[in-house]
Amino acid sequence: MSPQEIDTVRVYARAVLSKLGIKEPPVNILEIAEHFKAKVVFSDRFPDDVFGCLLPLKNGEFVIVVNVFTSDTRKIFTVAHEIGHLYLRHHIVLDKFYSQKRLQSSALAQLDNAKGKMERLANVFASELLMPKHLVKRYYGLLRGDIDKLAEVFMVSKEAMEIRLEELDLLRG
Amino acid sequence: MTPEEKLGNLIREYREKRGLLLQDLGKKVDVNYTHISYIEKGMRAPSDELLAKLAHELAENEQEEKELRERFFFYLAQIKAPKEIRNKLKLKGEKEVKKEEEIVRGPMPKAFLDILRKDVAVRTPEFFDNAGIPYGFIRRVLDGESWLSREEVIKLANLMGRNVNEYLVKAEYIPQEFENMLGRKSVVELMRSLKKLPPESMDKMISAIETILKTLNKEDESTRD
Repeated sequence: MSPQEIDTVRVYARAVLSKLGIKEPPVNILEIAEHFKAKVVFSDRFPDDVFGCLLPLKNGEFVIVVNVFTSDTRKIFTVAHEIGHLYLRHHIVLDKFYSQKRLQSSALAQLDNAKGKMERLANVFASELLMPKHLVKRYYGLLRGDIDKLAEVFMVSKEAMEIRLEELDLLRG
Repeated sequence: MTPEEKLGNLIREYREKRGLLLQDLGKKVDVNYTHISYIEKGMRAPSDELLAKLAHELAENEQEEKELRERFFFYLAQIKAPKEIRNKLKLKGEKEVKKEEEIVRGPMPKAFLDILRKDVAVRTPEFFDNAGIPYGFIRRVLDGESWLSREEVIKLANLMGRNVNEYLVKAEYIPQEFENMLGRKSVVELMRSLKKLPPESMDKMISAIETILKTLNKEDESTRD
């Protein structure tokens, strides 16, 4: 992932927030899902290591399936991550790729790379969506850098908040 | 299987038959959906009161409710029975139900058997025995006397170096809802993304997604009415 790619994805995520008029944390992820015609459902039958998945329906709508046996903050992050895939149109990219006439083995290796990248970009999108730069900076000041409180306000895990603060050069020490 | 698991499976079976999500059923009987999930997994036992409510919500008519209550409470009695006798109790009629299921199942789809026969022909019996799928069992499947579960189909496809998707499609193990609701391309893509999972996880995912799509389909139909 180049810095430009990451920045672009972050701008996209913030554009979604401003379009929906979301100005305060915690970000209502279900409202955003609804905006994108994605229905969020839980499953209690997913394997433990699968957090969720995105199903594009024929009628243009989506279903986001979330593993019910994960923490609340993880569930929220999973939905945000899948919205990332949806918004960045990853399913269409893959579809285009597979519809090429002949797939060389080099192309398949490329695809593995691309898939890994898509996952990372979806994470970047999710992190910006749930913890947008301007809000995190404002609340960082308001809460005097208390990571536990910040995580609570943004409804994310402490680890996710720590990573975010580090990215924004706000983590002391 | 413990009586708790049997009861849990029965509840899940009926919930899915009714096309209800855990959340839906939870709301109907006034408990958190996680409680129901635990019950379905056989990790918790329901109260008498809850069980009666469940029978009421899951049955389609009074007759069915009566039967369901009987089965539910029989399992509950087993759960509550002293350890020494709990597994020895037998529910009348359970055996007959099982027999019926077996008769309904004919041989696996011909297209699948054709491809399987070809793949099996170029390998030795030991190849399968070593992989944990007894060769005798595969012979019975080929003769139309036995069935492979979806998990076993996935395992075999991996074993033979075949495309899992192809095997599953031929075995008619990709539920109709997938193609109806997702479209062909999405199904193929979905199967590709699941490929990295071990067979049992893949099987779990497919049936989980199937349940969800079925439920959504039903909701769709009811809002259209």
